[in-house]
Amino acid sequence: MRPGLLFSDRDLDLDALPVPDPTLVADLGLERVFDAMTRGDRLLDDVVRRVVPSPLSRTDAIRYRQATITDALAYPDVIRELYAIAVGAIDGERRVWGGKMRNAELVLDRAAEVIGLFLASFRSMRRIEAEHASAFTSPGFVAFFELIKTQLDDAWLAEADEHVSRLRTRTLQVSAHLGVGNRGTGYVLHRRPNAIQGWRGRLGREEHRQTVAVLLKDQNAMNMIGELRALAIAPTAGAVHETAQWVLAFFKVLRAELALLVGCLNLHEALGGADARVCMPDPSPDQEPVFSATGLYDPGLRLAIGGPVVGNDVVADGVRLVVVTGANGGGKSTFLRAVGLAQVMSQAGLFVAAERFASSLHSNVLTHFTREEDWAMERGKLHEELARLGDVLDACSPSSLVLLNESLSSTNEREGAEIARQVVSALVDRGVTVWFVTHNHRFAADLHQTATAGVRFLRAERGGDGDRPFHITEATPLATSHGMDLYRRIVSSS
Amino acid sequence: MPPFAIDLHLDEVAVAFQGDRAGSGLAAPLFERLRDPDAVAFRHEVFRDLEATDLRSGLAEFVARMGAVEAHLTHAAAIAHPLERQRWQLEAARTYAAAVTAVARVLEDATPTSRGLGALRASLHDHVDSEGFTAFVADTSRMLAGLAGVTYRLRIDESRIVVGRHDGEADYGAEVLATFARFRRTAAPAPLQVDAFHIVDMNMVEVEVLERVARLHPSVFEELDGYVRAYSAFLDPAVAAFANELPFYLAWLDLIGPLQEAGLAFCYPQVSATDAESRAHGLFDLALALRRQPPGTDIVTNDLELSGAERLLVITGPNQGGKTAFARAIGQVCHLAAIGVPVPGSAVRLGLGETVHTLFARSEDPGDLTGRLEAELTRARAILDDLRPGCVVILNESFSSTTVDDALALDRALIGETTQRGAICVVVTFLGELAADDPSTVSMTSVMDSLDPTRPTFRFERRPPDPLAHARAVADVYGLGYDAVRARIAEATTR
Repeated sequence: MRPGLLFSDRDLDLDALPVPDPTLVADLGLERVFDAMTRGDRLLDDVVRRVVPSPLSRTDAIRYRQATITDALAYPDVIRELYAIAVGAIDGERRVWGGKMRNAELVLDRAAEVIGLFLASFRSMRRIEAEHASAFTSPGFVAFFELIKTQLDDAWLAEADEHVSRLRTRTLQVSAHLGVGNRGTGYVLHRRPNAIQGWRGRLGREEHRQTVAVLLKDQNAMNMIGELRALAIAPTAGAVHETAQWVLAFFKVLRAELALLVGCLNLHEALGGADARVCMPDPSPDQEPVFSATGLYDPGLRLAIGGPVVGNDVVADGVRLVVVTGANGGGKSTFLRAVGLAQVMSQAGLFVAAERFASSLHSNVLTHFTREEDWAMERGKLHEELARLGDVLDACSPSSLVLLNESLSSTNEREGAEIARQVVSALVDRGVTVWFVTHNHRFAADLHQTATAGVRFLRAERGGDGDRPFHITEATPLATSHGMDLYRRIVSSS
Repeated sequence: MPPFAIDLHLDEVAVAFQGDRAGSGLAAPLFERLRDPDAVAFRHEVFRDLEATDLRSGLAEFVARMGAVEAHLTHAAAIAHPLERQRWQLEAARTYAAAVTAVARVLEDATPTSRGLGALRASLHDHVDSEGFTAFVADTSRMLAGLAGVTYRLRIDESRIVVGRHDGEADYGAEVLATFARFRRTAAPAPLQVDAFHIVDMNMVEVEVLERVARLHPSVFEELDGYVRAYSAFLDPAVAAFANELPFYLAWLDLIGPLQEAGLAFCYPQVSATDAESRAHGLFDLALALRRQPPGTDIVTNDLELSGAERLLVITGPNQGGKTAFARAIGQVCHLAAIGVPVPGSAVRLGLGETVHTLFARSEDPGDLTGRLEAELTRARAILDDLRPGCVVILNESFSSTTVDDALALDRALIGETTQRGAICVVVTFLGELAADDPSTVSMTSVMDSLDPTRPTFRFERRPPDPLAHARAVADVYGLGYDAVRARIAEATTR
């Protein structure tokens, strides 16, 4: 039994997902998005942090998850209730005493109790299915509710109930044969009879002769009976314990899958709820590069300032290299983050922060951001930077999306340009898509002179009015960066 | 354990040799030199058989089973209740029958050429074919089949157990599993270690249950009683004796196997009573090789050659350069050659094996210098008293607690006495002067890495000692070599 809410063909297995790249999380400001999704809940965090940065590699998988999330956004209360049931089942199991016990009888008692608890959770899910299933249209939810309805039907629940009560009866009936040292072995449990009939009188003569009885007050002998019971019940106890673990595993997968949906509900609310400017993106399976966005903005910035931010329109279809130049403080980094986050969220099957968004699939998104405080030209920094760039290339495949932000600024312009030229042209020739935000004018200008149609040049500019602090336009690189402007504004005027 | 065994790290070898059988006396023969060359040859033959044929696994299996037989019988002897004891005796008999039958077949299929295994083969052949053994095997199988057919049913509640006949009820655990089968996944949950009191012996309640099971199946248990009476002494003394001797051979091969796989050679040394020539290729410190993980990695081997009048070997080189390990390797091979086992190295040829003596600094020696020197001299005296031609004496940085001049004089005196008595002397020292240019003396010194002259290669070659090589190399690394210092001065003056 699989919940199948996030994948059409498999369970969400957190352990199988790659550990998220901390550089990607830091550079794109994913932490802020995670916070909005989890609201500090550790369970949600475990899931969101793993699932969001793990790209789906097929458009049908993305559309499957998009449909599930669209359904979830339409019925948030149902999703939150289902999530509470899964959380409750797992918490309940943990609270049943004796999870670490190894005595066979205690193991069996506990497993039976746990299964009883799970059956109650299943009944709650059946009630939700009966009330709400018909409103859901996504293939994920339709199949999920169908599963609840057919696999956890009344007859099955009754059968399971009977096992729970029978497993908790105190009288055992087992068969065995003789093993090493003539000790009983190969114990098999049989359906338990009613308790042995009353003492004396009603026990037949022959049966009486074949009875080993001990006094209740003889603790030593009672322990020995306990040992024998444990020995006899051990194989069944192990199996029933395993059964309870299987059902627990189902709830854990269900909880993890619903956790992502709850995270989406939270994020959607934080981005403005009904007014949120988000869309379900249009992933492109084509080989030809596609990148086209309307009103694309950085959701992290939107979350940080708590109000709407202005988006940009970008079309970079058919090119593998986008070079962004322009004023310092012109929003280049924010723009690059918006590009990266849209790609990451799109391939996680989530909605993205844009009015319209279409892009190619990438095997992964890699980032190399030079933080502004690192701009100082220091020789040691170059070694470190080149090492980090090497790490990026180690993780790169021909279908990667590589976002470079002021890379190679830890050396002089000429050296930086030469290294950048070699690295970028090698990447693009291997089919990698590269977005390069740079203030290295020599690099940008050289590229512009020799460029073919495969390069798109964008320029970030500071806007004149407060409503539109910056905007991105398609434009060739300008000779001067606006560093002197900034210098004058910040240094000279003070 | 003799003192030389500790100095040569043969105690470590013994620990590895015994493995988990410490205290079994398995390692005792490692310290008993064979006086008779024929006894060495006898062991070599057995080792060659074990290496050449596929007898080894079959014999190891035999040894393991005979160990189990002994364990079962010891266990049975301590059990009071006959129904339980008799089954352990039956188990011992079953194991013995299987062990003997299997090993006889293994030996029958092979063609051992050694005297030792040939005798075992002949003896087992007769034993297995005997009428007594055939009947024993048949009775044992019949008895086991009878007991295997005994099944029973228990009804257990808090304080009572009713023992009855089992009439084929279904497995209820399987029914429960079937109901929940729909939750099964490909990845199984971590299995739970259910604690079911797996003590070997039954408790009193179990014994009482067994008595009632016996009542349900009286004939089988009467038969068991008769069987145990009939075969109270099934163990053949000759077979048991072989089982005691084989582990020595098998354990040695198990010990050196991983080293051989790592590329280290072992060989059967030629020991000559008349020829004093000593020659060995690919020597290495066995204890050091065993200590490496995995065993035998990064072990450098060295060659030894003492011919004609050569009686004294002086080993020099930097600290941590493998001098002591090389000396140990020489001592070990001399000792092990007299044990009759395959020894480290190839083409090993040694003069008549006599006792190996070692004079190593000891941690238990007194701390003050005079006390140390006295203790060392006392041990030297004891060695000289016990010295016979053909002995090997290994001196390791001896007398280093006194002045260089004193040490030189003492070493020279001790070496002189030793070689005079026809012993071979191996000296590990930083006193290059001991390697006098003399036909009886061989000097071997550490070879340094050609790329990094501060690094020893752990190889030694016949060469006069060069006490300044190490110092020069360190200087070069720090740019303080002759040329480097000149260049620096030139640079500084032109500036």
